[in-house]
Amino acid sequence: MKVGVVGAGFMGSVHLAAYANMPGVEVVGVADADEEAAAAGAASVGARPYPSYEALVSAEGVDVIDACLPTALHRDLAVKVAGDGKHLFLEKPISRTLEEAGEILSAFEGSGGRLFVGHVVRFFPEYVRIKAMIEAGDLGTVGVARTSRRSPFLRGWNDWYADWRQSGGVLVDLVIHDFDFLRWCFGEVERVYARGVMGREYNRLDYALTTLRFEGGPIAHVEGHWGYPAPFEYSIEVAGSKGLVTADSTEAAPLKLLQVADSVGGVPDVAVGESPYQAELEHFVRCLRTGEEPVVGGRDAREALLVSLAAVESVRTGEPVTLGARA
Amino acid sequence: MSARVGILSFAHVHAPNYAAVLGRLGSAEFVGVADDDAERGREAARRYGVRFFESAEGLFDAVDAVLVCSENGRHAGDVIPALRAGVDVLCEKPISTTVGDAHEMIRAAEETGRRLGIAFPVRHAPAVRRAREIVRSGAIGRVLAVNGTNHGQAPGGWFLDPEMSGGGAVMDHTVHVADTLRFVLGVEVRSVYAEIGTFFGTRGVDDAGVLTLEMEGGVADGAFATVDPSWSRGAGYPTWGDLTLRITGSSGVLDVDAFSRSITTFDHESGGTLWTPAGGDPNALMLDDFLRGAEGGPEGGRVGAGGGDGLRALEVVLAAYRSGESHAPVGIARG
Repeated sequence: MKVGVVGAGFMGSVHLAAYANMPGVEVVGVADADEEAAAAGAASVGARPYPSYEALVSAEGVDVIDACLPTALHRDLAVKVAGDGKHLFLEKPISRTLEEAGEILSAFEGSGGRLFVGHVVRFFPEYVRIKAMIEAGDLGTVGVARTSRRSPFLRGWNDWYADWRQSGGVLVDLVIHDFDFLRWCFGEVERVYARGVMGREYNRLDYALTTLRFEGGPIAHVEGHWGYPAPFEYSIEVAGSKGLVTADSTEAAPLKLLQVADSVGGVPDVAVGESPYQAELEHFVRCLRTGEEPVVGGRDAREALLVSLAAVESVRTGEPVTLGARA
Repeated sequence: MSARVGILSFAHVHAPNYAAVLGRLGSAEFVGVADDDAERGREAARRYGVRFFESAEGLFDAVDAVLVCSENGRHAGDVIPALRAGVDVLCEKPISTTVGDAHEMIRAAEETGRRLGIAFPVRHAPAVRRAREIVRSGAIGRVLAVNGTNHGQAPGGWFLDPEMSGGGAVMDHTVHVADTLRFVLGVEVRSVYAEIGTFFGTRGVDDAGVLTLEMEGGVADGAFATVDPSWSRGAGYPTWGDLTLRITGSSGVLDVDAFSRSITTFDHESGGTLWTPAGGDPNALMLDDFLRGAEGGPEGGRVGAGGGDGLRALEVVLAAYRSGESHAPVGIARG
């Protein structure tokens, strides 16, 4: 299987490293508007660098495009990839707006290409285990789930994370991981209420606390922090009538690396065993080979974005947003 | 000089803790117990080696201060006669189940000149006292938000009777976090949004919720806070529950764990694990503060909560229950 990677920034390099370990998958080209980034990414896997998607796809016979671009660029690229009949691995969130998500999903319908969106938390081993426990009924009736995801402020290409119009802020870019995971566990969201500092804080900081009420009953409390003054941390707790399960990245680490210099940014380093990013991409590759459905589909990605945008709206209006009426 | 102290009613699960503390507190002389459940009262009096009084009035005559640990719905009926009998009262939280009762209790204290305290021991937890200083020093910049919890286990008994308890987990635990936010940040709560439910097998009352509070004043004007008061812990949990605050500011984060798991014990016979805190016991610090009428707390006054503080916390709970029904934020008109 021949892969072209578009976007050789931070996440692009994580994906490139994952492909390097994957039998039967060859990265043939790496495209980035930044010539140096394209060259470095390409060199890391023995591929050829290109200045753009168009240049890559016209020179290389690729089956799959893996896009790790700023969110605001997703729609235009995705529609081109679908038009070219290629498969697409797209980083989350699927897009910046629901309209764009709709255009992407329509573009892939009947295009001959398939769309996969990288909601990688579904591949983190502790989250996978917790989902299985909920499904097996080990926790009984679930009442309250609490999640937290706290990240240093990321510095992307052109500092696009800091531009809320491009990134959507912490709710659209980071908290969407937990919204997606919670939907996976508990189904559709009935109501969203969120408070956040978006529009009030300008010092490379976004923070929000969201309450979700699921149609099936459970309540979720979701914390998201961009600009956390420490390395990336996450935690989850799910409380049911028969038991309580918790996982906290600050408490259980098979390896702990301490360095004198501050390390800023970075993905959560699971460090032991297979990386969740690799597990995610291997799953997408397997789905392409076997035709099976992915654990997270394009519609799921759109629904997670719907929840994120409802939370943004709730922050703006101070009122809860009921989703049943608009889904 | 120590104050003569009685306990009126052992209905509340906290009464035995207070009784145990009174026995070793230099500021207290534990005199006796009165209880409308005479058997329960006699048993408690026997256990702590103090006198059982057949009537509340008899107890009031023999003490300087009384701890009222009756059911929430009976607080006003127990506290007001005690104040009128000339006794200082430390009343278990919540102050009452209705704003009307709370007002009558506060008025009785004003009219009699006796002290009405509300048992919010979290204020006295050393970590919370220190957090108050740290936040007010500006160490985390402007306070933007607080993520708060007060988890526990469903107590059973009258706690599950809404007539006596006024509600379930949201009534039982929200008041602790609301009071701690007021104490640490100097804020008042302007409005409340709440999602409330019953999931963990509790009958008769709610056992779960997530509340969002809008705050004003103090060092967190315009900030928001969430409170998870759920009885989501069970018999398998290594401790009774928790009280935590993650306070996020414009230039830092302060995590507060009022009852942090300082000691972990693995019991090879039962197979159980236990977490126990170490350091100052908030109950002992609270009772000592109340009995001494201690000066030297924040701004030179007492640390302990008074009737007005109890009312403010109750208002947050009542707004939460209304929001849980209406699915809209509910404003608080502080009375």
